[in-house]
Amino acid sequence: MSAILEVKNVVKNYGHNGHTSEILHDINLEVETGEFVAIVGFSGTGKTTLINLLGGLEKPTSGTILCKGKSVTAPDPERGIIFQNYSLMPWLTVRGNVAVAVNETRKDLSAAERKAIVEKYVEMVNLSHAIDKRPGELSGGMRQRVSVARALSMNPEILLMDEPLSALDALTRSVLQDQILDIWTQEKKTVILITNDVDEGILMADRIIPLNIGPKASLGPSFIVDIERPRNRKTMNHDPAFKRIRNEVSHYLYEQRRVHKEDADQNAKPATELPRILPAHALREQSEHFAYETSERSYYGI
Amino acid sequence: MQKLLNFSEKLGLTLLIPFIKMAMKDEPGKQMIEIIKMLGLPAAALLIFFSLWGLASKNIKTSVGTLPSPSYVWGQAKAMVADARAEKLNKAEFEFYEITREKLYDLLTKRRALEAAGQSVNAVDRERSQFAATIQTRIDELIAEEEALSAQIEAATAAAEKAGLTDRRIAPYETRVLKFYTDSKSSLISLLSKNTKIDNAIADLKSGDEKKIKSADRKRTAYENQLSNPREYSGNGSIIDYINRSIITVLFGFALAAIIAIPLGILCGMSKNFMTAVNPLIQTFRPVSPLAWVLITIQIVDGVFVGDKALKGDLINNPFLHSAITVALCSLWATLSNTALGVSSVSTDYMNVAKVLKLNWFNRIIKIVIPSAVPYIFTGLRITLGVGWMVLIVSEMMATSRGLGWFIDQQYQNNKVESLANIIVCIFIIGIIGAILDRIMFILHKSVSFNDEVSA
Repeated sequence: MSAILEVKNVVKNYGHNGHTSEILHDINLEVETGEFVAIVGFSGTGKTTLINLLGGLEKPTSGTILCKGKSVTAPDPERGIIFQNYSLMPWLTVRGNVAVAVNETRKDLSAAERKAIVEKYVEMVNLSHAIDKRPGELSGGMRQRVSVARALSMNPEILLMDEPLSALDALTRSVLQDQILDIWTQEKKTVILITNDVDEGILMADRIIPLNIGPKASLGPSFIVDIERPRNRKTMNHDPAFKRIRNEVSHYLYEQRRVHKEDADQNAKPATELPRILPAHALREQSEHFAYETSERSYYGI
Repeated sequence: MQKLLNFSEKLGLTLLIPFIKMAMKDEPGKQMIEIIKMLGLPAAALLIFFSLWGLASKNIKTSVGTLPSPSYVWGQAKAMVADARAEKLNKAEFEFYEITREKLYDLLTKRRALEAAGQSVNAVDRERSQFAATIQTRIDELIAEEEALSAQIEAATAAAEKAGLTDRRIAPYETRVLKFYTDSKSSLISLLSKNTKIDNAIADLKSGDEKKIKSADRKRTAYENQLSNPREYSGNGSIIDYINRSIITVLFGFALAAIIAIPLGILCGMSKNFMTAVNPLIQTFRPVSPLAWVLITIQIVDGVFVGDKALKGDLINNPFLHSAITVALCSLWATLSNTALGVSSVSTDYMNVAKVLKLNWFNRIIKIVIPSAVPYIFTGLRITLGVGWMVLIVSEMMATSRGLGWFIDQQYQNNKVESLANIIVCIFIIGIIGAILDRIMFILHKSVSFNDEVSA
């Protein structure tokens, strides 16, 4: 197997002329065809920026991204993106939303064939009963399934998922995880899943890569998930391999966070000195906030 | 039932909801209180309003007399409705006369043609005499109706005298209707008499006396010429005509505004440079009063459609264009800026999808930008129609386009208390139509927006 996606020394800055902040620093990644890679990290570390770079929605400040050996400069249907906020067109029905993608990417097919493809993918995410409904009439989980169907219907070689399940409740989430896994087994796409849930990563992926805390976020070492598929959600909690990987990844992430905090504390210097005056009504809130912060610290053992 | 409930919620008919819920036996007690509130509170407010008005009407002196009281205005409103009915009758009678005249003239020309070709005219003559008989029947009907109505008026007058209501005015409606019957009857009679005279002339043609033949021929031609001339309708139109004309004008102006404003708004929203270029113009023209627009519109339209090119239709004429274009000029700005806003604020999420799909520029506009801007566009259209309706009245006054605005101006020129009451009636009519138009736009807006953020 060869690498379908190669990321080499990618740096991404935002801002101009001296006000730049480096979001991603020296990202290196190789993903093989058919591989399921999960990138986990705390929120605000630049995960969405990374997906946008891979998808071609943004350009790296330096470094190269190669997809099948060719440089990625613009978005392309061969890299389907499943967005965190679904990004469905609210004025179109489920059918319409999927059809937009199919009509655009499979122009060579006849109308009837395209219709069949739309229906096939809607069926695949079990939404045939709601095919003529609009996103406004669907639950969050259903909307994300439409988004999955839309991304798959473009017949992409790589599927980029940007925290697709983070806005869903736990139950819906697990149902959708299973569904995505089923589809992955059927379609054998290369998948890059961005998530903030370590368990989700272990359940679904072949390999977990932590994204270090930004700014200047870079990728951590790969953790191979060598648990046999199909993985059973119920029994997995007791699987020693699962526990080991989970511990390793979590430990790595918390360690990262601790180091980051220490760095931040040492370098903490407010940009401008603010007068230390608080309005009277804020005093109580401040003390409560303080109490919350200390308890949070003790929770993480920091 | 649930469907009906959803339907009324969609239409914003909040008044119906408690009734439907009550029929569904959903907390009937609570619904009862809700109904009492919803009907009672506005009723109380109306009562207070009308009593204040009644009070004011006793004390406020206008230049033409005291301010009309609510009951006086109500009486005037009824008189206007009666006028409209009378007008309708008048028009119907006029049209009947015209159709009859044309038919008769047709038969006469046909007869002439047959004569010239040397064919038999018996069939045409038979048809003509049958037609004359039907006209006679209609005349008889009119006489009967006339008699019945005048008897009714006499009885009413007598009853009023008996009751001591000395100054009771005989209802203007009945009197006018009576007049129409009389007029209609006499025009039909004169039509018929012309027909008879032509018959006599034709008979004289066969007499053999050369002098007689010459005069008969002249007479026949003269009568036939008289029959060939259509009459002008003399009625001034009624309130119904004014309302119809105003609504058509405002809708025409509204359509014009939409046709101009939506494409321009899309351009403004798509291109920042275009927006920067035209923004000063928009900001300058937007606050200009309709009074200024209407004058320049009149000048330009009358300059373009001048002399033979002047539009002389019943509906589409120069004054119609003046007021419709003024409506468009004053009202298009809301749609323009809302469209621009909607187009420029299309979510980056949708644009990302468009990029991944590699939609071209045209498809991006058609499939993503415009649909996502539709709710904004409709917000703009709703405002545009509201502004347009307000502007319409003043533009009709200035342009003498025979709608409600023109009617109000006419009443103002009359300088009488009745006219003042008519103006007040018109104010209510304008307000109610404006509210209905707004409600229609609200429903349209609601039906196209995908998130329920429409305010009532």
